[in-house]
Amino acid sequence: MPSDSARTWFAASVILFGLAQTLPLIGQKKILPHFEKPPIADYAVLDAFATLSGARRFGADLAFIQFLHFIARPMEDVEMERKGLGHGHLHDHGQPLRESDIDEIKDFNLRSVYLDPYFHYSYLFGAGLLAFYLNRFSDALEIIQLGIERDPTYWRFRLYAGAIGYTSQNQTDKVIPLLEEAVQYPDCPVMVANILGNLYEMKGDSARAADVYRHILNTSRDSYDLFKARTKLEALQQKFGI
Amino acid sequence: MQNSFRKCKIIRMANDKPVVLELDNLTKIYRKSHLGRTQTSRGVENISLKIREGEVFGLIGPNGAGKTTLIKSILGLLFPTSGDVKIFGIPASQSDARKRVGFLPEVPYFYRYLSAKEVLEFYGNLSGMSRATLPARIEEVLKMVRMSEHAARPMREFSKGMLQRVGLAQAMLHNPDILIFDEPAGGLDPIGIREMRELMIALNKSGKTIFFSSHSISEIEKVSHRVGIIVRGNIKQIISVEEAHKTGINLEELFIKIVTDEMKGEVK
Amino acid sequence: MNAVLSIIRYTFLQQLRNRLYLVVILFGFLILASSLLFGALAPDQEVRVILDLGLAIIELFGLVAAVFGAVTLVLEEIESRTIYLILTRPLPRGYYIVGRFLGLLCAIAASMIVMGALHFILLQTKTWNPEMSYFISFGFILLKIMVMTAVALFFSLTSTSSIASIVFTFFFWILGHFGSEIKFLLQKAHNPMSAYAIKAFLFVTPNLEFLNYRDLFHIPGLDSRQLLMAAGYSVVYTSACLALSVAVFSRKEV
Repeated sequence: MPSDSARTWFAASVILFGLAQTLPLIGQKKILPHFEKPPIADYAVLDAFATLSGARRFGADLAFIQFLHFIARPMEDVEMERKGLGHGHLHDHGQPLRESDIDEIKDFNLRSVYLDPYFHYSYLFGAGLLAFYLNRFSDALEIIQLGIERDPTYWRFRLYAGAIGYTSQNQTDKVIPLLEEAVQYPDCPVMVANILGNLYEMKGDSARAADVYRHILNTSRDSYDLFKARTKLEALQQKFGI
Repeated sequence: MQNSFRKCKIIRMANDKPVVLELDNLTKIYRKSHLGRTQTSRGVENISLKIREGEVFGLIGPNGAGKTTLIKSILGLLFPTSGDVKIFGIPASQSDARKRVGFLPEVPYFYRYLSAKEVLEFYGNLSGMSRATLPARIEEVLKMVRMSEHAARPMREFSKGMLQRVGLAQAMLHNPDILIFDEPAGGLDPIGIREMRELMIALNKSGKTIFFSSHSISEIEKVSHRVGIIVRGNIKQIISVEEAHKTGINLEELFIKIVTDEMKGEVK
Repeated sequence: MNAVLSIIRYTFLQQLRNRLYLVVILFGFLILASSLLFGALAPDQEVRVILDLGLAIIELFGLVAAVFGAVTLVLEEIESRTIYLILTRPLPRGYYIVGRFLGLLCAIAASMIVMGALHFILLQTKTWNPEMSYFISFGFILLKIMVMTAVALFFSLTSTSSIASIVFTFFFWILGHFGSEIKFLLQKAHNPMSAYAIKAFLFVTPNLEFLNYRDLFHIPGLDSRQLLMAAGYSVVYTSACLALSVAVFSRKEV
């Protein structure tokens, strides 16, 4: 009778479901750390959607793009200020960059690395930004620490930890070799190279600084970074005729 | 009781031949449940029937009498609520029961973008025919239904009569011993009807058993050995055509009488 | 066996003829090309963005094709009555289900491979060194879609409307990615009854996170043993769904 064969198939399916569900128990050793709390409430829905549709890596990419977008303006201001060209210049609404803005920058960074805990570049980028541009050394180290926790095998985190530590103690001489090494790796954010160039310039070592800018020109793909590096190189060439 | 009394009067023919198709108290009740309420409607009820090798059995009844339900139950498309169906002694619920069965549905539905040849290849494979013999057999059956010159055309270009012929071709393809046709003359023109009739007689002569339904008495009379009159899910009477002719029974009048009696019964 | 191969072949051809299906693939191409745009937003991470977005799109379109293909796979043949001439052949109903399923799967896999090839070429135009992980990810996307096709087929045979089956399938898709989070929440649950209920529910939902290699790409310490188990899991789970579908279908009247 048809019901008999239906029963047989049903029994087979129960056994197969049982077998299927034991495989993760013995085989699923490595899973992504849980995405527990979204750092930015406004994007919680978007983040949840990425998680639920199994696209956390792409979600992290989106978060990173939003992060870049968020910092684009204030970053220019910060740079002007550092060079003494501006005077505590301006965020979108004519306000100087406040502490709360910097907190938000950190949250943006955390968002992308919560979504993809192995987004190495995002850790390096965020930590570099917080440490070398915004002087938030403890926040930067926190980010790097998180990265080391998630992926202890990615030893470049430790290099950055060292560089950030020395920078916080103003030990420029110790920072330079660490950054020199960091710059050699293809996954080094351009920003870190810029810092190295600045450090050389501050020391008066224009030749080395020019080398760093040339390195950026050869490796970066970001038109804004390229433009900045070219401008700096031209300035050095005019000044010192390198 | 009345039913069995009537069946007793049937004059049996070729009683020594093996039983090809056997229905034993077949009942099919449709259940539809909607929002927790179950509605039942009767398809067929308590049908018992034995069809022997070499017989042509015609099933006649008004629309909605249960002809298609009966045929679908025989073919295992529907499952009986109670009772048994056996084909060559194998229960219809087993796919093996259909090994020696050829079926022509009321309107044969095919994949319209395939050619007649491709569709026959497909059905041949499903029937477990060997790849070595299949192409020759396809040509043979296409010739029998006079469709050889249209073999390569996609079937969406076919008329209804042509589709019916391809339907016949697929039913005969694997050389089955019993053919089940649901309204084989439906939608055919007079020439088509005549061709169909001749083909059925020829098939029967070559030893095939045929079970078919129709609502045309004159057609059924011309090819069947026995005719079953089905009304409202019950086979009211089974008559041997030969015997009817001998005793001067007019099948048409008998049919109309049975149907109108049944209707009156309902009114009461 | 011959019969099953025949059904696979005709289902495959039938799927490729389905225009709606082609539109889905074309749309996939279009979106795939637009990943270039996203890539441009993060110039230093362009390759990563194109890679992630591309794989996500291929998976999404594979899923859409699978769900819509599977939901109509058998119902369409019942409605068009082409199924009569198939089931009246000496063919066990299970063969029919398996043949239809594999035919559809081949068609979906073929379209996904076409999209994957385009994606690969797209990446080649950038500075990208092909990594093994990419191909493994792609393979697991196919396995995930295989699982979801089987899930959708099962729902199409049990629920009364196509919309309901589509909704249920997407619901399973989400739960499948959420399973490990649910288990995590379960550890915090205090009510043992609800914990059992959730566990019972997880027993039938697919563990898609297990197959989501696309997101596990750089997880340290992931070994081939886990990948092998995951691949095995997808096959066993799919078989379980198919067995259940056959159980349902062998009671279905047409």
